Amino acid sequence: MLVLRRIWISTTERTEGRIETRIRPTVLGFLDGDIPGIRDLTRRDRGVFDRLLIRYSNQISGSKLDSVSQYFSSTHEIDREIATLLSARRAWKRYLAAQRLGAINATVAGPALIVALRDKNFEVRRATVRSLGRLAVADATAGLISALAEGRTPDSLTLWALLQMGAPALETARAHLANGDDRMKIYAIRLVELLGSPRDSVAISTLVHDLSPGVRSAAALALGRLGGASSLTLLLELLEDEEGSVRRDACKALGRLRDKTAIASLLLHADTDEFDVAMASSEALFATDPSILVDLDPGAISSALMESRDLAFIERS
Amino acid sequence: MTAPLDGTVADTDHNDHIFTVLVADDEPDVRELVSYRLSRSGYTVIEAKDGEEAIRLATEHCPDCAVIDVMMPKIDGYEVTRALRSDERTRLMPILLLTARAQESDIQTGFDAGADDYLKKPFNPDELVARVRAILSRR
Repeated sequence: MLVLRRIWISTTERTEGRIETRIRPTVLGFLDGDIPGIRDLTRRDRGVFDRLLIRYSNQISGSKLDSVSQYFSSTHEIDREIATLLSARRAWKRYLAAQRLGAINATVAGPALIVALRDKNFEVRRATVRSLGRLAVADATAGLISALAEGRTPDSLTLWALLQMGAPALETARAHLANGDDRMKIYAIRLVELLGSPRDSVAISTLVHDLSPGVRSAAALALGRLGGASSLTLLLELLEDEEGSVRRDACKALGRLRDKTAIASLLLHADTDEFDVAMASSEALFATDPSILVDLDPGAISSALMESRDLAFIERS
Repeated sequence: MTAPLDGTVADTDHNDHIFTVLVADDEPDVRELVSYRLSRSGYTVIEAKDGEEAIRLATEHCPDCAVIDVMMPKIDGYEVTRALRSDERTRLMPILLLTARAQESDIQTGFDAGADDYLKKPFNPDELVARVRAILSRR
């Protein structure tokens, strides 16, 4: 029985391989706009055509995908994939549906994909996030930030998807800066840091005194990237925060600002017993002005400063 | 000389030599897409399945330009770029890197290796052709 099945599978694969070789120019021509419509394909040929079209669509972006979504809309494939995503019992089917909807540029599937952010299977949610990012579904920004905060989707992939959305994601993130949930606030700050402008430092500044150390840390890092008139002063204040992680992130942020006014404070914190703070401070000094490290007495400095001093020598040579 | 089938004017140099482009990617679908689009735009295309083959074909045929994927097995696109830049026969060949890796550091690595341009995946086929045309016009 298994042998027969294996023979059947390999025969099918060979046949479909031959069909694929024959159909490939048609698919490429269709994708390129040379062939406006597809006719006279047998059912089997059309199955291969569809699979090949989805594979190619996964590799490209831009206006050529419009014809792909129109084609799959006309064959009702999009409707079928949406139904599968929302109601299939098997997770692998929902996963494939989530993946394909992004590949075939099915922007109409946005609402269904947003619902799928709450799918019980992690891989389905991951494929959903990828497709939402690929389709840049602006309405999904709130759902994606919520998924981030609740740990339902991978951090880096979800942030990537939000970055694809640009301005709508920034607007949603700004609105969530006042959210009562600390995790939501932290991710909102991260997004504003990545997408925002120096003007956003005003809103971020109000968070440096938040009760949550995580929020204060995120605010420090964001101020380092965004800059702004009061960022330096606030970051120097945060160097005296009661939490070591906040002091560490304030040092990192000062390294991004590269303002020489911070050097004296950074030198003090590079000499502390707290390794993370000392390292972050030393790296910030190196980023701000490596030349001051060269002049330090090697016998009188911490190991963290010594490391940055060595890097400064290498840089100079 | 065959006119491009996409309605544009064939990209040639002053002596009507049709430009040849080397396409290197371990992913067959990407090779087919890129080769098809470039062929339709009037270029002659040579395909390589991996970094080793890319270096061999580049030094054998001296194409006018190369479109190279970064993430290839054995020898990645950065290594291929460095190898082509260090070979007298290919050191001036324009190179466009094609990759899904688009962090600042990855882009910097590509340019440090000697690439002339960089295009993110998933890529826009029309943009790819426009970039190839642009870097060839700077030769």
